[in-house]
Amino acid sequence: MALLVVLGAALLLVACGSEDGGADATVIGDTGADDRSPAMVAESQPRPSFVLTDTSGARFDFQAETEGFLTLLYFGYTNCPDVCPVHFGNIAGALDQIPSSLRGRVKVIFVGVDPPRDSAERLRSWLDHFDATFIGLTGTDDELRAAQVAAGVPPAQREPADENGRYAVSHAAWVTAYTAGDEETWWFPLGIRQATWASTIEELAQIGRTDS
Amino acid sequence: MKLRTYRLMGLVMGLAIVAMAATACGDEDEAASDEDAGIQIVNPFVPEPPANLGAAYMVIENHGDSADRLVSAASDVAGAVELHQTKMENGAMKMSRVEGLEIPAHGEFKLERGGYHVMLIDLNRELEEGDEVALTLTFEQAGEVRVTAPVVESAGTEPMSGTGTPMSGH
Repeated sequence: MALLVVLGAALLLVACGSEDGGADATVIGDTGADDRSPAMVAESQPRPSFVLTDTSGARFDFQAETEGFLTLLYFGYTNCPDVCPVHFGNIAGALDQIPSSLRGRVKVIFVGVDPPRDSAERLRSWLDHFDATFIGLTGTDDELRAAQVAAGVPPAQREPADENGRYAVSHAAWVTAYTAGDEETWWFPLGIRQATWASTIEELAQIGRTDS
Repeated sequence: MKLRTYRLMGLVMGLAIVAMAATACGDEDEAASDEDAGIQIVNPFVPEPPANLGAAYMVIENHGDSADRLVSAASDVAGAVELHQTKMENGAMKMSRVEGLEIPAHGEFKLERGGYHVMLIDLNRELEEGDEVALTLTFEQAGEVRVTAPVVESAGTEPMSGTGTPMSGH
């Protein structure tokens, strides 16, 4: 619900072309006519707490494992042919463009919300296609649901199977970014250009670190 | 002298016409579409699939006087090929199969990342940048149109405009 409010606010801000979104939600840049990137929404919301299983089979406490890093979190599935590869292709391409000193401050997490098909092996090979350092997580339906609720995204839903037993999964459209110390939380909808990803990640990776 | 000038002009004009015709044919070749059809396929591509399924994108132009409809697609690289639409619904990306795509007369239909796509299911081989995917698109009026779509680096293509705007769902 809170998510809808934030997104609704974002839409309003986009519609008004406002650069100043007020106290807790700011829409910046990339709303120009010749840049197809939609707005990104910034708000303050601490990284969620949930535990899932990573592709090595180990339990992964999201908060503990990612604290101190700019963390990009996405809920998708490996049989997703369209939007998931767009996001991850662009994120991987963007990370190749930023200075390596900053690259080490970024963790990218893909949560496979389709456990019947998102096995550890399949998640690993899907992610390796983009970047071998990307972290893949999955879990039981209950664990996945809890993680999505904690992250404030609409929980994924398996659509009815067709006559061949194939089914699609509806899932959150956004990548969420938490800065190292949870100073800022950003929502990246589909449509962010790779160059914008790169400049934004570079900027966000410098927030909340004093050890540089 | 005068006659020769006319002849020269005729030759120049003739060459110009040949050149124009050649240009037109070249465009058609580039579009990799059936030359008899009013349907032309522009800029087809398949982003390198990260798993054994992928998607093909393109712009379908209809230069004919009547609307046409893409009803099915097939490819020898995939066990099944379906027409799909991704759209935003209640904050989630939802993908669903569509029965056909209407291409308006003297109009176009864009298959773009984050919108409509030709879904390649059960790929029977790995597709890498530089490979080519042969597609056969079947239209109600134009019949079968063959397309060769290059496989491109996944990150190298941008999503469609507008889809990402929060709550832009239909």
